[in-house]
Amino acid sequence: MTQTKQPALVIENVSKSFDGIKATNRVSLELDEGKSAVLIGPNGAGKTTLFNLITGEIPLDEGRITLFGVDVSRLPVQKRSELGLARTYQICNLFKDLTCTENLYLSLKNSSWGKSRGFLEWFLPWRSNKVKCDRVNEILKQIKLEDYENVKVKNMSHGEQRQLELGMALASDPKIILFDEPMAGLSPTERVFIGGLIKQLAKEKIILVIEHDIEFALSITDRVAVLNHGELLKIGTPDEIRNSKEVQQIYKID
Amino acid sequence: MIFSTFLNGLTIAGYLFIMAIGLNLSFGLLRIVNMSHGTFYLFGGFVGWNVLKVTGNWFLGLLAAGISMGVLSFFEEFFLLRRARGKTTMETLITLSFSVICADLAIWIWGGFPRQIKIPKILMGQFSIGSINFPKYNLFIILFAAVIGITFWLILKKTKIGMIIRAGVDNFEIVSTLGINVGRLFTWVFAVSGFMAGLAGMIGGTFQMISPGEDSKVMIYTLLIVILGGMGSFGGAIVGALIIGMIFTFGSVFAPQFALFFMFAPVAIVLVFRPQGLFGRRPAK
Amino acid sequence: MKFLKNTARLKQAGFIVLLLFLVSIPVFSTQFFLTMMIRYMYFGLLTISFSFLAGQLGLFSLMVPVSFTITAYTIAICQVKNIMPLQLSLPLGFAIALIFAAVCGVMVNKTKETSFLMLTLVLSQLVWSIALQWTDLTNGSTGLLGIQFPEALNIFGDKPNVNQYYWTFILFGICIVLVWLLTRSSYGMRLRGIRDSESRMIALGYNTAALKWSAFMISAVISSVSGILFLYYTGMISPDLMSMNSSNQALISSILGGTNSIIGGSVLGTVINRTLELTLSGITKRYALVTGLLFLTVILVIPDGLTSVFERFKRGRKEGGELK
Repeated sequence: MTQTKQPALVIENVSKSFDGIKATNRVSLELDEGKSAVLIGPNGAGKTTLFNLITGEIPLDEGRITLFGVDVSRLPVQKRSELGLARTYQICNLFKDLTCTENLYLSLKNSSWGKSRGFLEWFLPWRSNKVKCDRVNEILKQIKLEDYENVKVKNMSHGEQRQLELGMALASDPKIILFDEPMAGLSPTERVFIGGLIKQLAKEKIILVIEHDIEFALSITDRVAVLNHGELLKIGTPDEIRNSKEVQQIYKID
Repeated sequence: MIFSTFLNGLTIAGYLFIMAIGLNLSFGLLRIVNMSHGTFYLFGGFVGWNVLKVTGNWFLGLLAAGISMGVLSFFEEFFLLRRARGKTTMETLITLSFSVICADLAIWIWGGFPRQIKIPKILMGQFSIGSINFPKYNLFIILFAAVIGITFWLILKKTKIGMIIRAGVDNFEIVSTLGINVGRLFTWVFAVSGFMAGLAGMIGGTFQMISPGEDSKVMIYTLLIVILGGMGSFGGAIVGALIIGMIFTFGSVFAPQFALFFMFAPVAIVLVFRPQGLFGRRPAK
Repeated sequence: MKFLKNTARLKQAGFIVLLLFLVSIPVFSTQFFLTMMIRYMYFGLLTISFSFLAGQLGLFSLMVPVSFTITAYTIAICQVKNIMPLQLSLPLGFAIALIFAAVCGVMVNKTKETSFLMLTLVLSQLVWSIALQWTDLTNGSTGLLGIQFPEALNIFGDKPNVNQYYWTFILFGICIVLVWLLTRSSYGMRLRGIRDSESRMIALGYNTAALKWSAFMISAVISSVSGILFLYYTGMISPDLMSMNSSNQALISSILGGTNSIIGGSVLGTVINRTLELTLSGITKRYALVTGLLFLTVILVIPDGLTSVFERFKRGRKEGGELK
């Protein structure tokens, strides 16, 4: 192959330990266009830790992470997100006292709509930024929360908060999105809607999903990575995973 | 000269340590900074003075100071702090308002002028090693602080309740999974912390003087110790108390204009290089 | 829609009437009332400086009186010791206060909630201890007295009180307008975002440390302005202004009014707190006790302050109940 383009996200031998316990142990993974993946594994396998290492919320002990050819291993969180990395949280991490619109408005920071107006921004009312406000309305429509624009997040239901969580990842117009259990605690109808949205996104962007619902996970991508005790056990197609003895072993106990 | 200043510093470190350990205990477990801790010191000193005046027994006064403040802080926790459980800023503000109220109450009851608490007969007089004279009472404070420290250390290391408290300081979620009544534990820990402040009030009040305004001063010194040593750290309270006590006495002797300033400087430096304090742990993410 | 338009117009009209009233106060009011208004304004600014951090960032700073005192002390020292004229000492006072605030801002930047509260308390006590003990420069606990209002600034007639009123009013107005603009702008929204979830703000790509630091500085600037007004009005500055009691007063006023509404809450809280102080101190010596009890009641009963009660009432009328 004569590919000169750098792969989107490369994780090489990444390790992290807390108080001597290895939460992540020499994990290597590669994501690229058309090469999205699903991350599965039992509770406490270190899935969310891996996400935090990728986004930089936890500094890594060893290894290397590159985003589009840039070594980000030591870069702070905001620099990584500038390169086009976005994530959602397992437990909704929203601005609870702000309205839906304001939440999305803040998420536009790194998108092409989010270009700052410099120092003027300090004094001009935020509603005067038509470009941003229009984009926010667009996203509100996309995640079906048009009627909630002026509702504070703390007054929204869990499902609606999940929708917003997704919208915020979208708003920054990222190239890579990490979904941390996007369907947790949703009702069946909400699952259909959010699942549909993620499936659609998977066509346009590179995504990495932590998901317990294997059926759904496999409908997004056919690359599955299994994590156990902080180690990457296996990565491959669903059939390979199903036939792997190691994987069978950990799921038997479950 | 230098040696006696050193011993004086050790004395101040002694009663500040008793204060700091109380504050540390409530901070470590309840995660609030008890701003009324200094007020308990003042109040305790006054109560002790009163009891001493009535009964003539200093040690009874000491006990009364501790117990009354234990009861007062028990009530503070039980009736006020519980209502805002979990909202740490609100809890701290409650203790702040409580301290404003109690400080004024103290002035109301005992008047706004300083009181000297008499040293008990047994502890009066000097104690001399060679050419150096040292008041017996100062030695008593140092020993008393040591006894308190050792007792606490033993309780924390050897008993079940100590283990629970240590676990709670480290990681709060663990305690709630141990199947104990967290609310009750909080109340008792808070009461013990108040008890310590009351004891310190009587001891410190006898050593220096007990007067309105002393509360915020002692509160600040205690905070300095706790920040310097690391919040919720037992060893940090010892080292912090020693450093602050020494700087205070040596500063007062050699550079009286800047004694207070010198106490804050190391704290500021520590904050820049080790925000969690000398012995504090980095908060787990 | 028509109703909405009407209320907007009503608000405008009310605002203009209020402005006219404030401007015309010196014409008809008594000396006492004028004095009260000036007091409300400089303490109001101090409260706003506290509320700005508390409302936008959720940080309760006990060091707001620090910039206030440093600025006032610098100007007072320069005047008393005849070091330099006002044109130079004024910027110098600002500069020293802001440099100190900048350093402190970096130091407290990583802390939140109670640790922030405690660190700011310690830092304010550091300055207090210098003011108290460096007697050669600061005159110790007596403080510096006899600071004259510069005569060159008497441009609103001859009466010194009227002049001071207008100068205070102008500076107060400028600060309020700035704060109002800041809270409405996307800058203010970013600060509120940090208040709600700093980790998310970082993940979205914001430099939250810089944002927090800048907010800290804005609060320091407002506090400095308030310090200048205080110095020229009372003609004195003493370490008392930075004692724990002083920062407690700003905190009590702010919480009483409600930190969510920065300007309305601060003004309301300050007016109530300072009026109480004035009336109670005439009646009883237990003024602190009453304020403390009031403060405790507010925290326990309406933690969001008095303005939240109005807010709820207004919303209740509009929607017929709170959305929950």
